[in-house]
Amino acid sequence: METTECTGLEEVDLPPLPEVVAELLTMMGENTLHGACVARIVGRDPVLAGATLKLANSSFFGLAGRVACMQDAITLIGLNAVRNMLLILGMRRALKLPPGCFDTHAFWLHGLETAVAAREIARARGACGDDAFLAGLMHDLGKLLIACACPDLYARIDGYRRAHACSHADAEEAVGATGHEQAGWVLARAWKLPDVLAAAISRHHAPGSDDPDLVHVVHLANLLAHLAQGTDGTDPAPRLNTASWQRLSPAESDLLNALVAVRRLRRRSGEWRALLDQT
Amino acid sequence: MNSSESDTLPGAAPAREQVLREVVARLLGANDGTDPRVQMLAQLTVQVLLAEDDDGND
Repeated sequence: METTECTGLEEVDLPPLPEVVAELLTMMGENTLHGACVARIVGRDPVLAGATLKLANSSFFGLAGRVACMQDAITLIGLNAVRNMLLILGMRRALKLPPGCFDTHAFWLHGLETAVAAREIARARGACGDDAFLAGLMHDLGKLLIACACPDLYARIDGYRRAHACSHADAEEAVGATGHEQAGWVLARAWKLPDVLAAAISRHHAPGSDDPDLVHVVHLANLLAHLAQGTDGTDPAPRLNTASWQRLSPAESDLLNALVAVRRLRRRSGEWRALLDQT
Repeated sequence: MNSSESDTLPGAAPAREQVLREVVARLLGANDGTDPRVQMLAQLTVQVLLAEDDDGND
């Protein structure tokens, strides 16, 4: 893709991967993530620990006032839920956005919706779904980087997308900007994210036939998350990738389950917004 | 995406279904609405959205 602006993302002062996120990813990669480890890691970071407990006690989980410590949070709302909250909080901390240029709520809601859809699709294929969830959650990381490093450019891309009712990727191409997949790749390399995660971040719009299943799963999950916006949707889906469809050959029932799971999450988006506002 | 009588979901109010089909067609953006795979995704999305309407009316 021709890029005419903000092409030197390698030269941008990239934020470091937050230590907490790095440790969580390492443990997930080594399959050594346990409640006690998470409690210990977060215990070293009072701000993150406080924010996590605040989230755990929010109306979102219906446990207000009952979660007194990190171990309680893990016991009551589950290790994966705590892990996901920490990843989001850690990435939000690393990528500070200029006020007003970026809809943080919509970004993380879409990430979570894609994550939920990816997990459903992966489970239907016999996988546990955790890797797919994480890749779905982080697949648009490049948008965050562009909004942080080049906020004016991000505003132009978003303005074009709204004015022409096209997908974000098409808007990037139309304004001649660095694509969020490329930006995500830069950040994934800088953060030394696992190769398969970097592939999902950098090629989720058009995975190739050589790409691992996870990249194709995230591609399809992203499309489903866009469709599941329903009547309040303003962000058109990217194009369906033939290679992904051929690789996954999704059953109707699996697609239906994924769509239902995303809609279930979306119906609680008000709570999710309030929850993010509290942190 | 074209809607034919045979595509109408059982029990769905036709007007509501038509609205949802148009919404989903917009959300499909640059996807080819004549592609059977895309049509399947659209049909399933409409089905899920209509089912929510039914739940809300219960």
